[in-house]
Amino acid sequence: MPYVLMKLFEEAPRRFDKWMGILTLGRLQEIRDEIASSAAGPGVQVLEIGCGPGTLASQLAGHGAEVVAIDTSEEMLREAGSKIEKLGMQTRVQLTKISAMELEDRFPDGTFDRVIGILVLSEMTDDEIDYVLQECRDVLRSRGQLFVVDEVEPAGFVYRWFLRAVRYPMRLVTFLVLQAKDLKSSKLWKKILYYVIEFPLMLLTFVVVPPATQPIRDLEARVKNAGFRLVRSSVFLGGTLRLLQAERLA
Amino acid sequence: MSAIEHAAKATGKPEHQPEPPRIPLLIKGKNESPAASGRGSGKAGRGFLGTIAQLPKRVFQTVFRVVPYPTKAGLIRIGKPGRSSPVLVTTNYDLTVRRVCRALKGLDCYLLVAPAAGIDVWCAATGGRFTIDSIISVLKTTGIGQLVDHRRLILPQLSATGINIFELRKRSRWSAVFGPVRAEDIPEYLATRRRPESMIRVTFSVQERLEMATAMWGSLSLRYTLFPCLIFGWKTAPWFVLVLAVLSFAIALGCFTLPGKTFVQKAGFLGLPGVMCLVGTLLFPWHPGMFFVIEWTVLTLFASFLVGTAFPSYSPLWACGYSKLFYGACDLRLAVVEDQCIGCRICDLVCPVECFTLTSNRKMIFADPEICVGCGACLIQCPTDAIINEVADEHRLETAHG
Repeated sequence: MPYVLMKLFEEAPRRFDKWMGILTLGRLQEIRDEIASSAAGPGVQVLEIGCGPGTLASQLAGHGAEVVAIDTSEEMLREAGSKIEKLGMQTRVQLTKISAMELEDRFPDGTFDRVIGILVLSEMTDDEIDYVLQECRDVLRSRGQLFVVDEVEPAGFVYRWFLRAVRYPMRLVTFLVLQAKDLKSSKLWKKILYYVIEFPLMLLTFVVVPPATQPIRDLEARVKNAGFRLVRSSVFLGGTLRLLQAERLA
Repeated sequence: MSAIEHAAKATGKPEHQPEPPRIPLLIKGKNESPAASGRGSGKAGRGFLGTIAQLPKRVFQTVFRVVPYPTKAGLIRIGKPGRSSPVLVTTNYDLTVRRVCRALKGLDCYLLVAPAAGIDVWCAATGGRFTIDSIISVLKTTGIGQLVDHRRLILPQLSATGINIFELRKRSRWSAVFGPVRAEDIPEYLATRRRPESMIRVTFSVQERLEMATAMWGSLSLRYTLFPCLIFGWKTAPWFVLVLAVLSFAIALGCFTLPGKTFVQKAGFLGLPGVMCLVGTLLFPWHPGMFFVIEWTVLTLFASFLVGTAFPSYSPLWACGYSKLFYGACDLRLAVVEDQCIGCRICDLVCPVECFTLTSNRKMIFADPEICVGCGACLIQCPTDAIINEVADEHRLETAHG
C-alpha cells in the first residue's frame, strides 16, 4: 500500500476545528464562552482534553483557572503554545502531549475540579469513549464537574436517518475541499496529474473507510454509566450538538 | 499539589493500587470474538453460504488491495489463552487480521488489534497511523493487563518503522519485542523464541508477487484506463485492462530475472517485442490495418511505462517513487556515526532487507545502500541516534542558511 494514501486521513478531523466555527454557525464559540465563565474561576484546576489551538484553554486561564491542556497533535500544541505565550499566560496553562487514554498514568485520582472535552469524544471509538469517561471520573475530585460538548445522534428515527443521509454528501464536499487545499501550492501539471491519477483511488478509499469522526450515540447514558450525575444537558443546532454538564458521584 | 505540578511530573501514578475492573472486557459473548467463529473477522457465517457471502468482499480486497479496509479494533482470543499466554499486536486491516488469525490457529494466545485506520502494519507504521497511541488505546480499552500476569508484547517486525519500543515501554510500561515479519512464522517463533535470519527479512515469493500483481493491476486499471479511452474511444477499455493484466503478471514473475537496471527498462523489455511484432505485421500484405497497429502500439507502450514505474511501490524490495512525486517525501541516504554506535545490532534486527553488517570492532556499518528500501526502521529504533539520514541533514542545513 503506497504511502500516499495515508495523507488523506492525516489531520482531517483536526482541520475541522477551524471549520467547526463556520459549520456550527458560531455556536461553538458561544458554548466556549459559556463554559469558560461557568466552569472557571480563580484557582480552579481544569483539565482540557483535546485543546486544539488552545482557544478555550486561554479563555479559562483568562478567568483565573489553572489549566492543564492535553492534545496528541504536536502541530496543534505548538499553535496553542504560541497563542498562550502571546497572552502571557504560560504560568496558568500547562500544555502536554499525551492522549486521553493516558490520564490515569499521569494524574493521581482527584486532581482536577473540572474536566472539559469539546468535540474530542466523536474522534474516538466506542470503547475508547467509555474508557476516557471513566478516567475523567477518576481524575476529578468528588463533586468535580465534567463538561462535554459533542456531535450526537439526534432524537427521532426519521430525522436521524435524514441527517445521516445529509452527512454523506457533506463529508464528500469536505473531502474534496481538503484535497484541493492540499494541492493549492502545487504546480498546475501536478494538480492535473494528481486528480487524474491519485484521485480515483482516493475516492474509493473515501467510500470504503468510515469517517474519522462520528456522532455519538447515547452520550447521556454513557456519562451516567461512567459514574456521573447529569447537571445539565442542552442541545444546539437542531439536536446535533449537545452540551453535557455532569457531576462526579462521590 | 496543583494540577500543573502534577502535569509537570513525567512519572506516572505511584503505586496505584490494583484497579477494579473498569472496562467491559471483550469477554462478553464469546461468540463475538472473531477467533471463536474460526474466521479472521466479520460476522459472516460458516460453510459454503458464508464463503459465497464473503466473496464480493474478498474480490474487492484482492483487486483493490491498496485501499484501506478497517475492521474492529480490540482483543481476539486465539484458542484458550491463560494468564501467561503471549500477547501479539497487529493493525485493524481486515486482510491482516484474517491472515494472522489463520496463522495462529491451534495456539493459545491473545491478539490485540490496534486501531490504525484500516491500513496494514508496514504502511500504517511508516505513515504514522499505527503509533504508540494506537497501542496504548488497545491496551487500555481491552483491559489486557488484567488478563495476563506479564507485561510483554510481541509486535510485528515491520511496525519498527513507526513504533520505538523504548518509548513504548516508557509510556505504557509494557515491554515489547519484535516478532517475525510474516504471520506464518509466529508459531515457530513462539515455540523457539528465536528469530533466525529467515524471519527477519522480507520475502517476495511467487505467491506474494502474484498477489501484488493483482493489486497493481486493479489500481492501475482504475487510475489510467481513462487516457487511452480519451484517444481511441471507450471500446479500448477492456483491451487496455487486459494488456495491463498481462504486463503486471509478467513483470511480477520476472522481476528478478528480466534484464535491465530500472523497472521501466524491465517493462520495456516486456513491451517492446510485442510492439515490434505489431509493426512487423505491416510488412505482410494481409496486415491488420494501420490504425490497429498504432492503437495497440500506444496501448502497449503506455501500459509498460505504467507497470514499470508502479511496480517498485508494490514490492517490498524496491523503494517507492510515488510519495516523492506528490508528497515531497524525503530521500534516504543513511550513514552510521561510528562514535555513537554501541553495536547493539538493533538496526540489523529490524532491517527488512540486509543493509547493515557488524564490523570486527563491534560497530555497525551501512554496508549495502543499494538494497535499502528506505523504510526508516533503523532511524526510529537506534537507541543512541547513531544512524543519520544525510539527505535530511543537508536539507536542514540548506533551509537554515537560506
